[in-house]
Amino acid sequence: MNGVNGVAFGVFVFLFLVVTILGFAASRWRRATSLDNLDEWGLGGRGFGTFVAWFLIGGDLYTAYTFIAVPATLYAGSAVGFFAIPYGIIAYPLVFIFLPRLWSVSHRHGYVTPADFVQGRYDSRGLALAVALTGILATMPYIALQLVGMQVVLEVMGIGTPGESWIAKDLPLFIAFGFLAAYTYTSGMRAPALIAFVKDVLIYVVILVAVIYIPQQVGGWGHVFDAAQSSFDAANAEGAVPPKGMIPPPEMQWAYASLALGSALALFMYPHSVTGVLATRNRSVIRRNAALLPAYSVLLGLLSLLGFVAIAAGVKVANPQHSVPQLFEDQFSPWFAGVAFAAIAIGALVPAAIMSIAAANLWSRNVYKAFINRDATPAQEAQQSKLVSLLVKFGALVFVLALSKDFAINLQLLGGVWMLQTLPAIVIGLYTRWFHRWALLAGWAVGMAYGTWLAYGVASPVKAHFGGPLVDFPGTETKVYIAVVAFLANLVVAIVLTVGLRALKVDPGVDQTTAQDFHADRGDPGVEAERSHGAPVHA
Amino acid sequence: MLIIALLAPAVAIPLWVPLYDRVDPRLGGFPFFFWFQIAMIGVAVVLTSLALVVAAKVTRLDRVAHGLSPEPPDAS
Repeated sequence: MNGVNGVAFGVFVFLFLVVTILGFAASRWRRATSLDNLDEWGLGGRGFGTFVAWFLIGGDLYTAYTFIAVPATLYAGSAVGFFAIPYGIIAYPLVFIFLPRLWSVSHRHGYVTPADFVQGRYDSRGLALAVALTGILATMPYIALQLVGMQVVLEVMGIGTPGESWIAKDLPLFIAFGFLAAYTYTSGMRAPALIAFVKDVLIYVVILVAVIYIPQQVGGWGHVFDAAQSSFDAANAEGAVPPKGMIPPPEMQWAYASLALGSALALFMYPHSVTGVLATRNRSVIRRNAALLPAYSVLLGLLSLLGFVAIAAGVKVANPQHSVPQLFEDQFSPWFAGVAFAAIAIGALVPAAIMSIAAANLWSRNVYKAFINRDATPAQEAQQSKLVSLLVKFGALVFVLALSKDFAINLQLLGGVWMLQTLPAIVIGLYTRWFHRWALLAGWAVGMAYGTWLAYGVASPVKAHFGGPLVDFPGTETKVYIAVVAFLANLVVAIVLTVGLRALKVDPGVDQTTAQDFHADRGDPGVEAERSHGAPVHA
Repeated sequence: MLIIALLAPAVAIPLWVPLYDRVDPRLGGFPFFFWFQIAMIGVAVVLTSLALVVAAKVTRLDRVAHGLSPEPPDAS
């Protein structure tokens, strides 16, 4: 690792400061009379239109870690990592179909979290708690990974090289996260929404320049793919395990498809994506965005291929995650490399802020208000959320610094497995009350335990446990995504027990929702009223 | 139903991996595996946009069927 480049570092720090100022100023944007309730602090006033939502949700879902990890898998010769692209394709039609219903019912009843909906629909604090805890558990390591993404950029810039003192290594990360925590605390959801503009514009510029300029420098795309192929062939000739390849081998096709499907289904169970969606101003914003957000997928697809470009350009790094940032440093002039690094680092801030807000809302609504202080006022709820958002970020920091990075990656892997187990309660619940609440809870418990156990049993060349996301489908030798296997077990348990509990006429609880709730839009009876207690001035 | 029919290919085709897990034919140097999937993003966008048009009509019918006004009172 070479020394710090002054120009690159200067540009980086400048852009970082711009974003920090924006973050604090965001509390004045679309100003509300007060920020001390969750509709305002936690959902930005529930008033974001198509344009803002596109930046916000795009900035939320396409995280810094994605931008580093996906090209890294291609660089390492594991083409299965490209599943991020079909995953993105599949996810939006599902969003188009499911989420308008969640939007409507949530606005009618003032639900802030997916667990709020489960509580209202199934009249079960236990089931809602299960959904909430799953969300918090899965979100924490995800925030930690954003830090990992930021750390990678800092390391390539020459800051925090391993082996230096603890302070020099981790202080920049502390400062960045300290600022993030402070403006999320004061501005709530408005901070990431405003910063997302800067983040996304920077990311678009950097990636477009990178995919047009760099391949030309190294001899064109055709040469890039040939160079990648011959590099993998050479590695395989030396006996690389597992064999490297440019496209997935035939025996990995089920793995590829199940990773895409399982991740797409889990994506909109994640609290941060639901939070982004509930912050929109009306029902059609989500649908329009389902047609507009794939633009980010094109970007991610092209960016992923930079993993191959790095091979063709002769980038040699021990940690594949360093490949693309290193490529930027080698190929770009210092000032533009600074812009690129800032884009990735700021790209970590937006999702980290939204994730911490989403996790904090789950805590306030479905743990604090449901179990600890049942008479909590909106102001107390908001105060809890603000504090917990700090706590969650601090937790993520400890994760990355004190525990190993591998541990965060393992848990993130498990996060997808866990989140999918809440799908029956949330998505199926949007359509039918047929499932019994206790059957859903039992199915969830089975799915969580089985999925975790399966993941524990996966060994990789470097790890004895949690070595990867794939297992043999029971009774076969076909590799598939663990989340899908656990989900099937979950569903079977939920169906069998529902039949039993219904036959025994066990109390199914009172459904708070009506059929009309799933179609209500902004301005319909009961919808405007939910928003007005925050009295937003931007109506 | 029409919406589901429009969106089904966008979900089903990416899951049918053997269809596109191959190197040839190349396009501008890109192996089939990569350019096909990136092109599928465009196809999905077209299908979703068509579904958007259909959904506007379906939503009106759904609203009336559930006792709401055909258009949301506050469509801003």
